[in-house]
Amino acid sequence: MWTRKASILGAGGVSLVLVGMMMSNFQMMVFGVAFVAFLAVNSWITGHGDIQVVRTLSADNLYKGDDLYVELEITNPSWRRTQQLEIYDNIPHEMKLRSGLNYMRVNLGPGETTRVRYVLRCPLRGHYSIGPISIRYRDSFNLFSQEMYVDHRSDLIVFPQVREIEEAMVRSRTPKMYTGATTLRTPGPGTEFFSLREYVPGDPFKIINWKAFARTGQLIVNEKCRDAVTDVFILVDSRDISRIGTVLKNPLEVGTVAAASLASYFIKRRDSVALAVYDERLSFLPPDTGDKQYFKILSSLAGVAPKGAMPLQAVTNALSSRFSRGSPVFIISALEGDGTTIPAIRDLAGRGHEVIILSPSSVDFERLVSRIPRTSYEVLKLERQNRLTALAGFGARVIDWMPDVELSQALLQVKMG
Amino acid sequence: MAVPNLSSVGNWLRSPSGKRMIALTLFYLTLGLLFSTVAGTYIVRSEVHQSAYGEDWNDLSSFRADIKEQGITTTSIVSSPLLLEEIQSPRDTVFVVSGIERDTISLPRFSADSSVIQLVEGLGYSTSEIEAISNFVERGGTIVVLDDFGYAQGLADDFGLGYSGHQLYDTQTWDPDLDFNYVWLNITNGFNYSSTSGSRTNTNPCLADADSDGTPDFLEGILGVPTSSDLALCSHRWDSITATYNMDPGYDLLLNQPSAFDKDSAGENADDNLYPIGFSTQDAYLDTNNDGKLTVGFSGTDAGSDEQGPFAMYVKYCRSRNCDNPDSGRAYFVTDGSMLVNSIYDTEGVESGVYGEFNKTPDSNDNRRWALDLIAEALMSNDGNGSISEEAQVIFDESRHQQPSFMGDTYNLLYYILIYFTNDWMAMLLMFLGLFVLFEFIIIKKLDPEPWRHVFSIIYYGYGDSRRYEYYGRANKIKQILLTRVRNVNSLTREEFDALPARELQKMVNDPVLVKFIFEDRRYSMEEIIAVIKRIKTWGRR
Repeated sequence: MWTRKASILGAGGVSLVLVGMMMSNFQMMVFGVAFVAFLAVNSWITGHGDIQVVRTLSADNLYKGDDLYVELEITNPSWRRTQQLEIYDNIPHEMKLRSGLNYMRVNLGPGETTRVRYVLRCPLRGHYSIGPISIRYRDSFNLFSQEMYVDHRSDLIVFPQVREIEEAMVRSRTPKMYTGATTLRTPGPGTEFFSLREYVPGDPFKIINWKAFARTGQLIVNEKCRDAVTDVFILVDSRDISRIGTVLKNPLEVGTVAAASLASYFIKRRDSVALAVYDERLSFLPPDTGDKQYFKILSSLAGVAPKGAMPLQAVTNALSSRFSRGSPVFIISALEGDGTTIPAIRDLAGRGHEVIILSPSSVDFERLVSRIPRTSYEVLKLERQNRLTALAGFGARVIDWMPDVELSQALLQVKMG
Repeated sequence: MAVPNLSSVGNWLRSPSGKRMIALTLFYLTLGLLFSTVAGTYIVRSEVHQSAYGEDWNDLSSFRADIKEQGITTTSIVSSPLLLEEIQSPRDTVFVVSGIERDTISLPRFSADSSVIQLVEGLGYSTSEIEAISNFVERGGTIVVLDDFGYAQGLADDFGLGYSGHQLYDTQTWDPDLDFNYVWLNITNGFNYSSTSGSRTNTNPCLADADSDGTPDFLEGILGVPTSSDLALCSHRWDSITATYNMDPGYDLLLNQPSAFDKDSAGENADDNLYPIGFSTQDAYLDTNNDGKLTVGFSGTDAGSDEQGPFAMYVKYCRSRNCDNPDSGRAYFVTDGSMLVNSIYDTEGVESGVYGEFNKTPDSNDNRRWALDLIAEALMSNDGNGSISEEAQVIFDESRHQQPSFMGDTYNLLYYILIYFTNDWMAMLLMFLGLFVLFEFIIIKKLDPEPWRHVFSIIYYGYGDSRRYEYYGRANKIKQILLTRVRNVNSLTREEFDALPARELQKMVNDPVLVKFIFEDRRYSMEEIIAVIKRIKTWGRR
């Protein structure tokens, strides 16, 4: 591509030639031809962007607000100099450059290598990709520039933050029936010893008690107590209306933090956690426990985006067959714009589920971005209180979560009917 | 490999990207078709006529060879006669126009009349070109214009002549050995400029004989047989076999399908130094009704008949009276574009088969002598020395001939435009404007690539429905919220609440202000609304 300088030089050269012809001025024509010739010669000696780039990230997955260390190693494998080479690593605009620069201007000799290091802060959860690498090379006189890409991308996931809520859960008025994995006095898969019994074909070798075998000469196996695990269901409202507020503070954003924190808390207690995200459709992660499930939940929460308007009753109806009997159900929703909320929660409570509603106060989130008249704000709040009171009246534990209140503090504010 | 089925192709065609691709393809096809149509007219090799650089029977190579043999530089103009303005020594230059086959390209120009700008040019040459040719003659140059039905009209107009544009049939001087298309133009003395001038052979160095001894002045004092250098540009008059010098001032010119000048414009006009020299016979007719036949009628009165002669066919213009000043410009106009083509000019070559086989060969004629005489008159000094300038040159106008080389016409067109834009005032003004616009465009539009830098930007998607705020400030909405609150606090279903008598509801509310608010249907001021809301907020807490 011609730069402005080259365009002016070219147009000037042609103009001088033409005006020189017009005025029969030989010197002017010579100047014009010299300009054009200068352009022509420089167009033959431009640099090149034939380089090799390797990007190294400090982590593939990180939590919202964490820092990411990035290093680019750039090598010129060609036998020619690159001339003026600009290298720019494309990073998502949602990430903040904390230190260093993702841009470098170099003139690499044959086989030469250089490095670019920078640190990114990731203030927003999500699935991101760093790259491709933009390259622009120019000639020495900055007359021509060419742009190209090195299609080298690095994917990473920014999980929602996970808050410590153990103390809050202990102190809160939420029911304690799901106290994590408990042992039952019946044989089965578990961790605690139950009894010894004779080996029967099919028993795995690893449960054979070799000491007893040495002592008695008979194959004896250890039996364990069966672990009872509670299934915890977390329903996250990701409807379009949940984006009320700012990009960093809105019901969905705080809801994902709450869901991640709850999942972390229960999985640490070896409970099974299921996650249902509803927006324009329902995404359901069946109950499971362990690190793998934890990663799945965080990944899923990292990718949620506000869209659609699926009613809560459609969600509870769709999941009714999957809910374990009596299992607790956490609903994280602003409870706005959905006329089915009350019947859905009434049905859930009626089927014996412990329903805990964590409801970010959408009116107060809206107030962060919109100037609500005082009277309207008070009336909106009254209406919201009516709704929460009604839900509490059906036996749900309702938490009215204000934007400036920490999750652990909010969990202590259970409102009961 | 999966073969796309028809439905997927159909789906793709209906998709926005498919439609866009089809539209783009059609656009470029149309553009290509237009370009190839226009360019094709310039790319196609064409048959060459009357070119000084062609070797065919209808080219002028023999004439050019004769000139070169005399040691005179020959060259050509392929772009535009505007270049004649650049010639430093027009006195030593002859510009030969043989057949104007192409019209000019009409480009706008300034005119001297009230219209200020002339958008359409005349036929043949553009006005600027005609001015350039005319100036060339003014500055002492010589032009030879040979044309019949071509585009010489504009140029002839500038000299006060008018080509009739009709074929001439001469019942007396047509050549019976060839056919009626070949007409002899017999000129007793080519230097009798007017009825009063007498013979002015002294204006031509080949015939100037001041002492009337039968030896031209430039050969006076040379003893024995003159050498070719002695003969200079008059060697064509020397017969080496008989060792005699031809002093005949008359010419028998053979013309092929000639036209003639209009009678009104080609009369004797000594005031304008315009001298008609060659005429057809009385029994010549111009095919004015264009029927391709000789239609004899009562001259000038019968509407359907052809016009009867005599007609001027060879006119000479001199800047000086009777062409007395050898340094003044001259213009020769003949109404036949083919009188110097090889098949007529070089009769010996035709007989020897240089130009292929012909059924009939033309008789020997004086076309060669006439042409070389005028070259001598233009380029040779008339002071008795017979000297020739080193800068003497003959330029053939090839700008109005089809070019034989590949893309030759395209090159000519581009060259023409270049010459036009650097010589014509209007074009120069347009070019200055164009250059100005180009620079402005570059300065405004041509931007250097933006420097790269990372911009941290979290898309702000603040969300709120401000339209509902007013609704939430209305008394009815507040009333509805109060009633819902009362119902919730008292754990009533909607049906139970609706069935409540008014007195029971008043008891439940137990606040005269709120009871009044529920039951009274009137407009409330803002202060009253605020007071009611405050009461509702505190109501549930009691």
